[in-house]
Amino acid sequence: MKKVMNLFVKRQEIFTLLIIFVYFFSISAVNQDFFQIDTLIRILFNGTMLFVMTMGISAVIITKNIDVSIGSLMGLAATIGGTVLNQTGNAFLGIGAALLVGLAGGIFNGIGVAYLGVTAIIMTLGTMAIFRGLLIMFTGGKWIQNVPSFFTDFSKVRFLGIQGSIWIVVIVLIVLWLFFSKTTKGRYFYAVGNNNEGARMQGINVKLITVSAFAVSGLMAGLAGVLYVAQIGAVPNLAGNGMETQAIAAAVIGGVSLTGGSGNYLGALLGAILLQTINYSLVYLKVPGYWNNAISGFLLLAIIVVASLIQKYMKREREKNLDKQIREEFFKTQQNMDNAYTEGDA
Amino acid sequence: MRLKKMLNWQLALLGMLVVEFAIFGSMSPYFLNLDNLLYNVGDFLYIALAALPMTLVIITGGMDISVGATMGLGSIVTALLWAKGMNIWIAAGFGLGSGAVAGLLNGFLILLTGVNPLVITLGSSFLISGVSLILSGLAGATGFEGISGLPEQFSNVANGYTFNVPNPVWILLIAAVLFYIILHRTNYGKKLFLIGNNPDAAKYSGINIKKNIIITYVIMGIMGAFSGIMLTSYFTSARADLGGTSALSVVTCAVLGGASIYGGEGSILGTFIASLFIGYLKYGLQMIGVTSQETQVFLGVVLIAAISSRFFWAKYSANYRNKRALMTALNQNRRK
Amino acid sequence: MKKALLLVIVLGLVVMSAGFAAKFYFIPKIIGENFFEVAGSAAVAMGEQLGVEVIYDGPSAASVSEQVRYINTAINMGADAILISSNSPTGLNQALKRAQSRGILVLTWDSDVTPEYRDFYINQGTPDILGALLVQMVEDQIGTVPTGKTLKVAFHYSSPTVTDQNAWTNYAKQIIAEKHPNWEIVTTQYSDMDFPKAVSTAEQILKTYPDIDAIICPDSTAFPGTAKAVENLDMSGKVAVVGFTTPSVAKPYIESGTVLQGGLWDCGVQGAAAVYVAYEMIVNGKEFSVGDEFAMPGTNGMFTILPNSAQGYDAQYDELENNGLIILPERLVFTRYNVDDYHF
Repeated sequence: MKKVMNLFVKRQEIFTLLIIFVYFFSISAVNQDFFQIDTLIRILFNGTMLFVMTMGISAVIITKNIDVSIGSLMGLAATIGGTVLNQTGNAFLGIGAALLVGLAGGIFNGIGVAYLGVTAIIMTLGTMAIFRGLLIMFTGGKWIQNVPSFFTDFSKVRFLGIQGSIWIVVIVLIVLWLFFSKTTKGRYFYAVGNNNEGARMQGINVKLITVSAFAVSGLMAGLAGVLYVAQIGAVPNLAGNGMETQAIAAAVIGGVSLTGGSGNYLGALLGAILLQTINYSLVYLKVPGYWNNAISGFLLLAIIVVASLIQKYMKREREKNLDKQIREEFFKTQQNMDNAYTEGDA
Repeated sequence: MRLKKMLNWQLALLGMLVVEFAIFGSMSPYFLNLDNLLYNVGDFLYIALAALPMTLVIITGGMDISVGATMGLGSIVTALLWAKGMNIWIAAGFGLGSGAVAGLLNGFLILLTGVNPLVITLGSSFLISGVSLILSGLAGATGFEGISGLPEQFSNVANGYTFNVPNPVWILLIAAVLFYIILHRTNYGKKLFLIGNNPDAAKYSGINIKKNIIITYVIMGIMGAFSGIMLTSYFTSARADLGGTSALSVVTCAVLGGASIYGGEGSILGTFIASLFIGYLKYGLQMIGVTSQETQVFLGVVLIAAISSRFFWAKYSANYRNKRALMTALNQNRRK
Repeated sequence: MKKALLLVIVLGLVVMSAGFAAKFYFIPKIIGENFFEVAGSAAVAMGEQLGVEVIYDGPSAASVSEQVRYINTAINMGADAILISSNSPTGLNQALKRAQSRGILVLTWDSDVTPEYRDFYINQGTPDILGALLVQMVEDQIGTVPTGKTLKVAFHYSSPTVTDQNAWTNYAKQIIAEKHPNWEIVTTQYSDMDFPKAVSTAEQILKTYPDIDAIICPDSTAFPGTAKAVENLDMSGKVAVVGFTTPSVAKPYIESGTVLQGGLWDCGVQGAAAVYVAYEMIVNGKEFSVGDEFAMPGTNGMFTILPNSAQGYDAQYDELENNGLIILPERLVFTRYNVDDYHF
């Protein structure tokens, strides 16, 4: 039992994966129709925007900040990207516009937090309102529609039986994972989140890292906007409303701790997949529709509680191990000194 | 030192409020009508009422974004029990109780898991609003209309006038004074500052952190429900979704009032003035014809600008103070 | 100095408003939504035509408390009439009562309040009419059902707390129970006006009930969301998708053949009618009563005035003087053949 717990503790992603399986099978037990490969593909396809945004916001959380503006930013990026696409008919311009908007928004957030002394939650609360307001002013209430079909087709084109947009998520995951775990610059993010002052004293440009984290989050929001246009084919004014809360919850479930300095992108993605699976299963339960919110809220809380208890256990184990190591080192040194002393005597 | 900084910020807020009134007053003849101004308190009462306990929560280093959901819960529980035949005032008592239960849940989970309160209250807000929805569905066919027809005595609480001043003004003032006493004049309040400032030191000085944190969240829950009940009285109708997205406005008021997200700092007076500022800002912008979406953008900018300027001002005043200290020291040296 | 400035501004405003015969405040449930933007622009246009000032503004979230703020502002700015689409059937009563006590005319459109707190309700159609329209659209597409077979139907709209959608749905369910005992309502789902959620929810419905025949969506987001879901799962033509939304939102799905019919009413006409009626009542002193009929310049058909009980209100509300429902002349059903005729 302890061995299994240790495994979970070391790699929380395995725990998340396990929960996904357990949940999948439980729902299938209630309703056999759920148990199909196609269901899984539908879940993944419908969740690509959430997945991308969750990975994006993980960068910010790792540096011990938060960003609640990504929902509105995604809406803004999707709106502008969609408009450019419709006006020019050029996919690259449309995608570029959306990504640019996301990046700009993210950098704006980062500058506010790093250079203007505004705490992350306030800054992003403010920009959340600003982006949404700009969106509505820009569209005058109309939906962005009639997106050219070549653009929406791209998201549906299948390589190896899986849609294009899902592949994009996979690519993003690989890129982020490579950058953040394998390069030194990437490791700086963890350092900043873990110990801000310490990182600064080590010569890491904390302000730059902070801005970069928000830039990543913004860029991902922009990418989510592109996926939105491609998959949904229209952009209503409330696009993205509430997605930030889902993304944060998903990241936390996936092991990205809000105290900063820990967590990885695979975990975040799995957390988002778990959340999406829950969202995509409630109708199968065949309960009255107005029970759905309470059920998903309850499940969300339950999973967050268990996931964080594991994190807490993990931290305590790590500290216990560290204590043990220090004690062993100390006794060894003591022992050496004693030996040297007695030898010296002899 | 910190006390002085807080006092200065409150003065700055007061100044901002005066400037706001001056600007709007000169731009629209309808703004400075005293009757209207007082009556308007009813419109943002529910946010101000929730911002007061939110200050306490933020001082302990926490956060509660389930307050909007709690408002709906308080509203529905009260109305549901009344619709089933209970006396409205007793039903309201149960409504407050449901808020306390919600607060208890939040506090308990936060302490148990050590997870950031933002995340816990995020999850609980879904749960609580879901429960409110189920309760209103259980109220039968009238579920989607909200429950209405509440007794006039009850609706007079938020709609009536006492000494020619609208009741919401009195309610807000009483609540503000009450919370001022709680936070700044009781031992409990002092403990909250300590807990937020340095949890370890607080623990070692014998303060029962767990008990105090739970009390804080329970107070938050009760006030959230109270706010919802006030809204219900104001509209004479109860709905599960009354609180909506008010959580963010509530946090904005508390933080603008000087509460620091990192804990240990905050002021009731500041929150009070900030609530007035933001409440009348929305009202004034509307009066001069700024559309809803423009108002949204404006509010976001104001929020960012206010906090940012506070940061810079603190930095420069610290610089200034340092320079002065240095000059004094140098002068003293020269005289020797 | 300041006093002089103030005086100038006040005079300026007075002069400005003297140019207008009256000032109306036109408040939607929420701004930034196509449906309301169209109603709003039509209202403003009608105002310009008649020489009255129409201010269109509303909350950025469909919330009762926000709407009350707008009502209060209208009162404080000395509006002559408040024309509002309410977010709650009873929540605005107190605020409107205050408006009425100040002599302000209150009219509702699209979504009503308790009858005693308004004069007339510019009504797109009583719940029985709209509920019947929903069922009708399904009937048109399904054709005759062979005896012994059950037709599976689902409802999908925004939320159990939105009054009108629930009222229409309840009527539709009643009609189905009476007229079509062989139709089975398999589920009712909600997607909170969130497009991706609507797509997800609809996909789940289609997969949980693979032999479903029709999905009824009386919500302007759930409707296109369901159509998208049907296309995603390549079930176009196998499931009838009907509901209410604006023609422009439904158009892509009508063109692709997934949706054969969509319903609504001309919200532009509705908005303009509110302004027109208010104008007639305030500037021309006209009195409307139950049983009247009238035409509005620029639209076809006659507006009829029905007693409040036709909407399902208590009979006591029929006793109110100069109070009732003003029903739009027609509802719209748009199909491939006429969807281009509409610009909203």
